Amino acid sequence: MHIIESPHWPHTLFGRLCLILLSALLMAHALSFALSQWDKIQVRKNMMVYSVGKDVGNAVAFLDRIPAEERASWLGRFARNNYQYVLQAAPANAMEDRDLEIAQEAVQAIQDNLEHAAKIKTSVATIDDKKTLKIHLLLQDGTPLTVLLSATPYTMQWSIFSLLCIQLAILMLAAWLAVRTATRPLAMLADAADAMLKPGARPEFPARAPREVFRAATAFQNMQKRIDTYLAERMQILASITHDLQTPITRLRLRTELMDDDSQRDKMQADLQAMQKLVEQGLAYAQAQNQLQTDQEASSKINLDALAGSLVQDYRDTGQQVAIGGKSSQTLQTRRLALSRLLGNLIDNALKFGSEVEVILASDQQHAVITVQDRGPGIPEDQWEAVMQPFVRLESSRNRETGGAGLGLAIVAQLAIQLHAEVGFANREGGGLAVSVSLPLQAGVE
Amino acid sequence: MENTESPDHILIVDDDAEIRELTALYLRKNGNKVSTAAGGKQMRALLEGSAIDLIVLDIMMPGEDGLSLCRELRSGPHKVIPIFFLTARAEETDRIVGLEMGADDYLTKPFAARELLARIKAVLRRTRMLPPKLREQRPPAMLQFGDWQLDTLARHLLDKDGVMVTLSGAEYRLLQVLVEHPQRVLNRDQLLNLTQGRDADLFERSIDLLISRLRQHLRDDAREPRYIKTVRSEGYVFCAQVTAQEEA
Repeated sequence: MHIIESPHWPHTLFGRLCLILLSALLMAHALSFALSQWDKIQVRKNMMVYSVGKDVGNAVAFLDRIPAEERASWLGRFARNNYQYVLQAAPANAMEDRDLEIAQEAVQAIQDNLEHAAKIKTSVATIDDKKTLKIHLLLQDGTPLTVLLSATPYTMQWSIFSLLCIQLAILMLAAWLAVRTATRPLAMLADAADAMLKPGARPEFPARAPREVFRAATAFQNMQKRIDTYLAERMQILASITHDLQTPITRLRLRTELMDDDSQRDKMQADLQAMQKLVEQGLAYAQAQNQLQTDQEASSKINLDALAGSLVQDYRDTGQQVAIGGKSSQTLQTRRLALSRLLGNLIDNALKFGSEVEVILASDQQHAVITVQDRGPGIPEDQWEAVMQPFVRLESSRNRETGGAGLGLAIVAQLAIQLHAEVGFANREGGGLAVSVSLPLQAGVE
Repeated sequence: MENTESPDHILIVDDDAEIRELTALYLRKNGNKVSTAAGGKQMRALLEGSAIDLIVLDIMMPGEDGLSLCRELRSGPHKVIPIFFLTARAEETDRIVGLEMGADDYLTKPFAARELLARIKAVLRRTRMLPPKLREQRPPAMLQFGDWQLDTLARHLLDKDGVMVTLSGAEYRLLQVLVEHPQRVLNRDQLLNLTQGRDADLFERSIDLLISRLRQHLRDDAREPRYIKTVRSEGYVFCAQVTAQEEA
């Protein structure tokens, strides 16, 4: 349908339904109104023609019967508000036929009411700004008589017009209400579905929704619960596997320390270290996911510069090269552990994939921004979203040296939601990645 | 090792036999006397029979877990014995709960036996430096000095507005040692010994670096110190009045 492709076609269901309903209702109403008005005008005309015929017939019969000299004095009494009589002869341009419908009908009506057959002529004149139809005839004794018939134009009364306006207003209101009733539950459903995208969110449907929608909503909620259960189950599996792996890793780790072969021991310990890292990441991810759903760490007032500084210092104390620069000079109400882990993951990543790791603090009116940047391969722009997903690793990092579980940035994404923070990527000029974490200064985390 | 005259007697309580024995083996190899217990019952029996210097306690155990055993120890006749927690969960809240229960330190599984040994030594040194009377009391959760409060459970500083100033691991340990020994001159060797933790290998010079970082955090001036005073050719002294606070 080409209407639907037109740029004027509304984009919302609400708009479309409103447009269809309103235009149809308005057209139908306008048609019936016009018909009733036309009918009214017809009836009025017929009435007028009929009464003119009768009146003129009576007047002529009366005038015929009274002496000619008394006629002039009687003429005034026959006058009605839209026609009057004068004793005048037909002008030269008077005609027997008129293509005026009303003239024809009036002449016919008058002829039907006359006692004698008279030739009737008509002419048109404008008297007092009114278009007047003159009907000329002769009395039985040959005296000319002219009936001046002024057509009072039909005017619609104000009361009818305002009634029409009220009707239209009621129609529009009713249409709007009906469409809203029909489309709002859809909007509610859409809102609820949107809200569900946030992990842990449990949108409730308004109880006032109509029954059909309520059923749909209940089904929707059940689905949501099932998904939640699956998610929780998945996390439970991840958590218990990784947790149970800790005991054998601990045993192996202890065994290596009792080994005599130094080089083998170091290699085994490195492998165990890698395994442990995977286990920790798996646990951390499961926990972060779980925390979104359930209780979260309490927030406290935190000196942001000191937090970032101590974190960087801890890396330096273990011999890793991490620089720190800038100052935010901000005190934030936030969750310290979550923020520390988020930044720690970013620094770990930067150390793993790049060099010259630097943590930079800054702030503006609304945000404190912590940027972790490195000199390394960076992340192609089309992968920025993908790397925030769990178990996603870039092709370039799929080797044992740097592999990992692909959970580091997924944990960052989870924690960012907890902290109401925004994580942004940028590839640096001259190579390397810059990940910025923007924390709102106001309306901090509860 | 400095305590060669009489080996430290360490009791390991863990439900996993292998971990228990392997840890014991490693500690024995390094000159300690080690007893092992699979649970609370064996632990109590061993405590009756011998003088234990330190207990390594696993938190996650079936039946009586490490936390409840710790609580029992701290309220009983053995409350002086330092407790070292092993936890499978890396969550900081678990650590805090453990420290709140009165543990002296903790390690997360899987741990390196070498690190366990170093940390056990550090805990023993720290407790032995305290006068016997003080040893019986648990260090209070909140220590106050000047404008500052040190939270010894969550391990951070709070300024007078209650804003958290996070310290690095090494910074915190040094400050804790200083605050726990006010008005006492500690030389660099002692400070090194007392603060040696997981990242170990600190040098004498790094103590000076840590001190200057701490002064920065505390907004202390080296020339007119309110908190940390340098004692020439000797070491450092924490010169502010330290008071214990019950609640934060």
